Amino acid sequence: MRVLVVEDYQPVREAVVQGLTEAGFAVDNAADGKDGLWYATSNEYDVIILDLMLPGMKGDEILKRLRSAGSSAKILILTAKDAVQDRVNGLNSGADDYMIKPFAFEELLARVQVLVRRRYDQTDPVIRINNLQINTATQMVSRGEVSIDLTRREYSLLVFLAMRAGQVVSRTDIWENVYEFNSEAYSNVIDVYIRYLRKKLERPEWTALIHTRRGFGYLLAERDEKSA
Amino acid sequence: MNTTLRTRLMIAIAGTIVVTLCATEYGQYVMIQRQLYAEFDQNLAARARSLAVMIEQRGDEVVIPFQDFPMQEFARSIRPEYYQIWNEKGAVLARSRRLSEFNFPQLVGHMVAPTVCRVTLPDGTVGRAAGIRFLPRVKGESLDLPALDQTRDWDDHRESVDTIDFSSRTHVTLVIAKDTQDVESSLSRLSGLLVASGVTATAVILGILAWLVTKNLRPLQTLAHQIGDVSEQSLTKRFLLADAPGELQPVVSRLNDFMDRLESAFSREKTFTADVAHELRTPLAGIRTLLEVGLSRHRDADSYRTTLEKCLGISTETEAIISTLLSLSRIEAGQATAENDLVDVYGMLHRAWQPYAQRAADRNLRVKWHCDPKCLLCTDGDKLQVVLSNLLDNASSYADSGGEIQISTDGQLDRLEIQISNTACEVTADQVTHVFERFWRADSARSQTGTHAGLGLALSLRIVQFLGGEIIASIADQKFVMLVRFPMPKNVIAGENIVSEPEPEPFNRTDSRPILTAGPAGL
Repeated sequence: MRVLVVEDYQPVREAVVQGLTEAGFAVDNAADGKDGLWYATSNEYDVIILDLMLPGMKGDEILKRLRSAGSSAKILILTAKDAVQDRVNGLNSGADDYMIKPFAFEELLARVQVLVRRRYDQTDPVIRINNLQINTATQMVSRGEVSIDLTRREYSLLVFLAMRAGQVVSRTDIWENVYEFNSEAYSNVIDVYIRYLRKKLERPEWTALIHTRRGFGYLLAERDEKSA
Repeated sequence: MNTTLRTRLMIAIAGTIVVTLCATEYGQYVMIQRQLYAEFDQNLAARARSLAVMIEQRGDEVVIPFQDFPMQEFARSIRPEYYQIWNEKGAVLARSRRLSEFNFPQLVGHMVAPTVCRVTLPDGTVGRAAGIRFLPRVKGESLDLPALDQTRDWDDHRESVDTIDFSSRTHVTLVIAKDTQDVESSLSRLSGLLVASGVTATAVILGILAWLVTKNLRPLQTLAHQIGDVSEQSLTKRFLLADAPGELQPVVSRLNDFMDRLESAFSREKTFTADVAHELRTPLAGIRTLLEVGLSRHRDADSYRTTLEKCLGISTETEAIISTLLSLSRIEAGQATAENDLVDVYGMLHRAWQPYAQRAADRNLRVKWHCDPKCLLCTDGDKLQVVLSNLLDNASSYADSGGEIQISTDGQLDRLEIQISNTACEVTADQVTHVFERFWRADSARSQTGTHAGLGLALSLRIVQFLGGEIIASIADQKFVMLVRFPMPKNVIAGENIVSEPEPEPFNRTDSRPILTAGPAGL
């Protein structure tokens, strides 16, 4: 899942980016309003964490422009402005959530995860496909009774595929949503991580869930419709 | 004791009216009383004269016709009149029967102007008596009396009649008395009438007065209600008195001016509180998030060290903000004190510049110095250092990248000017008017929170003012210019090297160094 953090105060920005990254999100960040708007319009983000009082361009202006442009990203305003009217204005301008500084990072993470689920119409934090269970709240993955350890990148890739279960996703989609903007690209890095996932998630006695659509991408589903 | 304006007005006006009314009525009473007694005395005197002309002298005998045949006025039992007659030797010749043995004082008035006085009558009542001393009529003498207004004496008139023998005639004194009950009754009725009319008039006047005072003080009550309704939440309201009298209009106007200032002060206070809250919330959020993320999983020692160092940095920045706020508060509360140091301005500028030199180099800023290296200033060195550091910090931070910073001093006999300017294409004249406001930044967002909280120039302004100088911000040729000026009091001697004449070329001097003195404003 890809998140953009637009925050001018460096310590907050760096800590939030680190925390979200460690939680499995692909996180980009911007230190001023103009850069933030550029990132938000140049990439597709699941969630944008947006400060209001930004140099260059104010957060509420960015919010209005994104909504005018039809952006479907979930936007969480993270600001020190705590007046009720500020919150009302922020939510009425198209924000999906509003948090006031200082905040508990755990709560911010939970809210971001809720916004991600809402973006993909998931209400249950546990994604179930066959005997595969992905708990997005605890980041625990299991198949049947077997707990499976995944790296951060593998987890991000699996959640991305699971959120689009039954849909073929291209390597480009995976790249844009699982990797940060400035990540160094490798031609076969997606294929490598898919192989890692298959190795950890698939056993002969279990149903294969990750399917390759040559020329198109990958599909996470209980049955490979094409094979069937 | 607190009394209302209405009560005070009522007491003052009513008191004045009542006193005036009483005085007027008393004056009327006294005038009427005098008039009545004058008329009474006049009648009594006339009565005495008429009795006198009835008395005849027949040889040595004085004949008093009304003695044997008393007149009704002297004989009646109720409120009788009294008379008493003495001969020249003072022996009583006759008295009215009702007088019994009672004696009146001998009143020896003139026939034209009898003597009248207040007496006590035999029955104990008060009356008045009129007395005349005269020569009785001699038989054959005409009864014609000279006109009372003639100056010729009655006796002279008698002596002019030479055909009658007046040789045996002697003076007789006649006193006639009468009670004044009629006059007293009239005066009693008059006083009752005056008191009643006075009370009635007073009551009516007080009623009208109360109504008028209440009516005319109503705008004051309305204003008092409006003032009473003012609260912290209704500072936008203004006082409105449509029917206010002219005297109240300036009060209403001043009150509204006061409300403007109050609203403005509250607004500034709210903004300041919000700004302080924001400035402290944001670094607090930084510390908390860094610590929470750092503790969210096991990490190596370096990671923890990095997190702690970041938190320490934020704490230091926050401490600086709080220190600045405290410094501002102390100066504004008049709690700051000033040392009297001999400051090497050139050296101080260079020392203050050192922390920002690298930043200026990183931003490709050109720095031009036009300073007199020998310029001295008597002032609080630590406080001046804070001012110069703030100005240089701002210049190195906000100068256009690749731009220029110019630092100069100009020492004159009566002042020292320190000027720090930087190229700033985007700063507008409107923004310049706000640069000394607390937490104000050219960008309304809280850019660079922690490093530039928007307090530096506010603090600099207070410090320079405290030291007796002035600081002026301006825009000239797309440059943002900060001018600090310290005047030198003419009679201050601050050392041996006082300059007696202005230096023609302040930047090229090699002789004595000017010493300018600046101290806390008002000290």
